[in-house]
Amino acid sequence: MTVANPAELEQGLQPQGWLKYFSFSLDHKVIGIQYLVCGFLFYFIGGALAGVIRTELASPLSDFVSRDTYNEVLTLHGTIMIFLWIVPVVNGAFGNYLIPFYVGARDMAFPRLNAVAFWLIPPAGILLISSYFLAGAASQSGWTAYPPLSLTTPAAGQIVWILSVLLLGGSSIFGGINFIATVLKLRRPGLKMMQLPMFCWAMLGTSILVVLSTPVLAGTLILLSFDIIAHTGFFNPALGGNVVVYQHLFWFYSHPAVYIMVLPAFGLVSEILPVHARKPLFGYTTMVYSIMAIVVLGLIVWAHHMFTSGTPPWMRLFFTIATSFIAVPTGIKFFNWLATLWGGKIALNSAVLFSCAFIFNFVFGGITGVALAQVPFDIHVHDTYFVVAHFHYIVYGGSVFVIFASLYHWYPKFTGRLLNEDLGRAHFLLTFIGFNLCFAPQHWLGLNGMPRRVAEYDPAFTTWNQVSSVGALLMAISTLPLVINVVLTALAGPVAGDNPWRALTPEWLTTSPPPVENWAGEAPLVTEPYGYGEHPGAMDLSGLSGRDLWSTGKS
Amino acid sequence: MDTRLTQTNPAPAVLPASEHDPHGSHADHRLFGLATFLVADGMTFAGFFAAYLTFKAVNPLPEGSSYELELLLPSINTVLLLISSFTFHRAGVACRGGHLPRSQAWLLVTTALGAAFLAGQMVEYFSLPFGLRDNLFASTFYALTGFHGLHVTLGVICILVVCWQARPGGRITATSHFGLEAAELYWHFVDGIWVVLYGILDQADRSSGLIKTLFHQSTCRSVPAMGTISLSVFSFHGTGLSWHWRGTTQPRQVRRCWLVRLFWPRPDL
Repeated sequence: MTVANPAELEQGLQPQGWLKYFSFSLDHKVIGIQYLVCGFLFYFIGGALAGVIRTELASPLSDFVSRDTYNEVLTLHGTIMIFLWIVPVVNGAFGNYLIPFYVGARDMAFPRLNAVAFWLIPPAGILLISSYFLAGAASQSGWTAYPPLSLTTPAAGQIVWILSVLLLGGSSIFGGINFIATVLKLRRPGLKMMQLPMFCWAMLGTSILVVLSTPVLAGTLILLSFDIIAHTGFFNPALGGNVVVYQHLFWFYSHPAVYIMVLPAFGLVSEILPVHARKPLFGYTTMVYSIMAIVVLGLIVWAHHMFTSGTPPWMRLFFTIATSFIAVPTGIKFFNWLATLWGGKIALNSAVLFSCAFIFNFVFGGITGVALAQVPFDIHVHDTYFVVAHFHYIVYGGSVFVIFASLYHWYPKFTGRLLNEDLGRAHFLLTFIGFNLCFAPQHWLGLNGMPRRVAEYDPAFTTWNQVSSVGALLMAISTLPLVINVVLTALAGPVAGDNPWRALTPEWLTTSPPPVENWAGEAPLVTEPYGYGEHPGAMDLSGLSGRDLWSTGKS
Repeated sequence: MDTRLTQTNPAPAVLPASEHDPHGSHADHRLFGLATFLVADGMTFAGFFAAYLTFKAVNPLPEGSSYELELLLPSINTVLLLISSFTFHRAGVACRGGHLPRSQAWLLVTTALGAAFLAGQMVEYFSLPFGLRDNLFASTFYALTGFHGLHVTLGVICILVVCWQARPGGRITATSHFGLEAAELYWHFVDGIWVVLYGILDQADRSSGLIKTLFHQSTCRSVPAMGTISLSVFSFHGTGLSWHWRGTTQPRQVRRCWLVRLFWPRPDL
């Protein structure tokens, strides 16, 4: 028995034109755009909250918002940015749009589940944000919701937060199931796993992490809500419970969550760089094994977030070593990207600028990450701004930069129009300078002992906090060229043509924007998605020495 | 500046399609999706189990309470659930063989066993000497068994729906029976979870005194025994499901292991 593509069957019943983006559409391309636009809306809300935080921290006293409001703002900022911006956009938006193209399918494996997964997100987001206005007090315990803090802050807001995160976790799991089934089961006949574009592997690894770790968070939050509503004592020491168990279970999800946010970004960069450097992706096989190594290692490093939680020495030792090991596959990927760029004919457009900035930022965040894995150092900087800086170098300098790069790269595919390069470069410069100005000083602040999540600080830290706030202001301004660019281009941008980058990956081998069925005829069988430069098969490396590989690549 | 026009355009490495592409239709992967979802669901339980085992290892209970339970009722319940897995399997075999009324009868037996399990759980809940908030063990016990009970309840509802759909002219036929197979896979999963739950909640830690020694030995035997039973249920049934997961739905020659053939010589599987 075969099942027809529901998106195709119900095409006559579904709204067309702009209205389809507000409908329960089953078309993976529509769902991808829904994720993208929805994510950007939440990004602006989360960014405004970050603006509140940086404004408050521009002076040592708590004088801009009240202390409780500050706690609510930082909780909402973290939750929105992670669960409503980065995870839905790098997974949901680009995954849904690109994966069916890459495997040569007309849609995802389960289109209805896909639509359900998306439509869980707006209600969850609205629920979360409305808790600030309706329930009287939004959650104040940070995005980690550690008990006993989360048991003593206002219960209504905490429960709304839990409900919202449960909905978003469900959405994430449904999406993960869909990606696994699509990549493993829906490949076009003749297309082998090792011929897939790298983003497929990244999404496969990410989805494995989602399916294995997100349910644990769901279970933990259910127990936490029991503690809040029914006054059980799972995580309440006063009732004989154990707070460290919460931390273990929480980080069993939330450390892999970092990879859920950044592995798809790795995949997207691996798609962008070969196209614009006109060279094959360097080290495809090692890239695949690195992704899978990160998946396995990512599941067994969670307790490096808990070195100050009374963890026994053997546990510290194990998690330090395991965490340090992750630097190996990550380093392999990093050098693969450099080698992809090496000797290539690089087009320095916005997509490449953002991708290169990603490599730069991510190396910096990776180095501080390895530093944080070492127990003595971690104990010194635990819960300080050093951790905040490290984290933002990973998720903003890593994932968000890649989201921007991907937007410039795939916007012609989404709309058929090219974004303006000058505005794109202005956007890049403002973002890059603003980002580093905002977060680099926070390393210094953290090393000198400024605690995170507190609205007031020692006046000795004022100068660098003000520098950081200026950086945040630049980041806020940097969204203006982006928004202007997107709006102007959508109204009257230059027509891009079907394949403006002359790329070889399958999503470009159709019209831009693509038809509902992705290809007018049969799906192309692309076995060399990175066959740029030399003719495929013409490269004979057997006679070369190691030094030749590092020359121009043209020998 | 247009950066796109800096170099020559290589010929795309696109090969023509080798097979006929059935426009937008594909094999049925829903069972694969369900299996993936059950892995996720199993991880929720795994989180609960890990929490319970950690609590038990490091959190002493207040004076007068312990991490132990009476054994009879949960053991009966375990047997009921294991039998229900077999009856559901018979329903699946009957359905695939085209004997829908027989399949319905087996489904009703399975429903009765599931309902009996739930009734047993309720009896246990009302006869236990502790409530939800009495101590950490009580809370964990109710959370674990309650969460599992929710799964069983959902399963019973699913079986009833499937049973209704298997009526003459219903949506389940000998050749199209995704609902039945999905419910079956789910039911086996819920049973498997119960075996683990029973093993760590009711059986572990009975290790002192004569009776307890006996119990301990029974633990040592029953946990592997139950594991073997459930594994054989899965492998036995898995042969029937694997062709689904491979995405082919044509009836096929299933090779069963010699043990199964010995005790279950069915021509219609």
